[in-house]
Amino acid sequence: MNAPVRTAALVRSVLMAAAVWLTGCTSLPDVSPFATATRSLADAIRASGKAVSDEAEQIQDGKELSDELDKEWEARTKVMAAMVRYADSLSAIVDAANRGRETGKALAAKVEELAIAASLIPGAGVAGGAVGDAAGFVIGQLALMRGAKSLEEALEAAHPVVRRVAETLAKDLASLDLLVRSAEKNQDGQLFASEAFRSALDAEGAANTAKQAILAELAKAKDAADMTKSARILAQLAEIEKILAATRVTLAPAEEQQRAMKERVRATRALIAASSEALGRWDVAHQDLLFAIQNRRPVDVSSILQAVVEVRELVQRVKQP
Amino acid sequence: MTTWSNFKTFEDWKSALADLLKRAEAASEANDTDACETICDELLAFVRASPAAMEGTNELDGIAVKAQLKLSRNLAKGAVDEIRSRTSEMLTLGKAIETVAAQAEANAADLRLEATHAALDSMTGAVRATQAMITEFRKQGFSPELVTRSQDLIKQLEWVQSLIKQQK
Repeated sequence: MNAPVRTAALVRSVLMAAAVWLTGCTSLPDVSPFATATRSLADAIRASGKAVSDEAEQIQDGKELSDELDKEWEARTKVMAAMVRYADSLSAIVDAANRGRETGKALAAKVEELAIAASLIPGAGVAGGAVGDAAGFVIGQLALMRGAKSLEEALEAAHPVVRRVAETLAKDLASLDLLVRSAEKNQDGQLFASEAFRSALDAEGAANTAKQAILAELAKAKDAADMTKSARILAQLAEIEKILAATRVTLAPAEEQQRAMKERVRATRALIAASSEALGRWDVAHQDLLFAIQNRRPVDVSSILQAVVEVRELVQRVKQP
Repeated sequence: MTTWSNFKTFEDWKSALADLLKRAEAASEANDTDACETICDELLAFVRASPAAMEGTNELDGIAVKAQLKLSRNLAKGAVDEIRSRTSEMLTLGKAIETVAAQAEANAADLRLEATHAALDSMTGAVRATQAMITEFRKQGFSPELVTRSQDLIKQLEWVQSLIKQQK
């Protein structure tokens, strides 16, 4: 074996040994689903606060409550914006490490190409290619190792904060749910505060009771005398229908307003419930990422992606009344 | 839940409302949100069930509605107060995660630079080694063609080096 080929073989064996040492770090976990979920959760938290604040404004003298909630909820929106920044920074680490690996590969390709093109010494082209491969591999793996270390540091440092944020936001979402239920009850109460509404409701109730009684009497009519009586009863029925129509004029707009309110409350509560569910999965996903990087294992992201889709749909539903 | 059909006289209704108001006060003082919500519903059920034809019940309805509005507003206020009680902790947590994110961003930037540096160092080493090799070729009287090809190799290496520098 001539000197250059021998040297190349030696370099290659050293680099391959380094490569074996580094094989524990062949790739970094995919953090992009976590980043996507964080962004989606931040949207859901913002949308939940806004929807409940809008509902709180409908409470009797509720403007003050709504403004207070907006002010307090701003802190939650800020925390989630910081969480989005954090999740993006995890992606940036993985991207940088992967780019390092790509740089290594590109370097290996270029060294091989140059060595073959130069063909200075017989056999040097092949040896150059092998050395280039190994050097590129080592550069790439070093980038992955540094990336793994940075990722692990970030995940470990953030873990207790993520847990605490998830716990606290879960309590906040429960408070939001209580607030929106209270707003619903208050709006029901406001409806009954109107004497006109109460009178119309009473009149409708009384008319319906009378109508049922008359219909029952009519059903019993058998002979001609009864039928004469029935004509009188039918006239009474017509009067009752007039009363019912008049009560509808008062009741219908209020009931329509109430129906719309109930629909809004239902959508808001669904969003709060889905946000709460997604929050739990987000917390677990962060824990799984930490476990994956600590143990160099792949991470399952299907659960968190499912939660993201659900939350996105509900945010849209709340935004489009 | 109250059975309204048992009430025959105005006093029955008045007494039922007094009982509801008493329970509402106790639930508010105990901060029992579940009980408050139930009583809110019962107060409106009272208004629906009370006979309009009976004298005085309209006034009772007015009192019941007023109490329901107050109770539901207090429930909402309590929820906002609970949220407020956790705000300062939230702000602290936000600052903590900002710090982690800033450090992670700095690490990502370092990683990007490191990869470029590694490639650049490697290329610089290759250029120097080839230059040394040309000097040696000249000393040992190698053919001009070999020296020219070696110089071409340096040009190519320098070109790759400039590309990496541009990425930096």
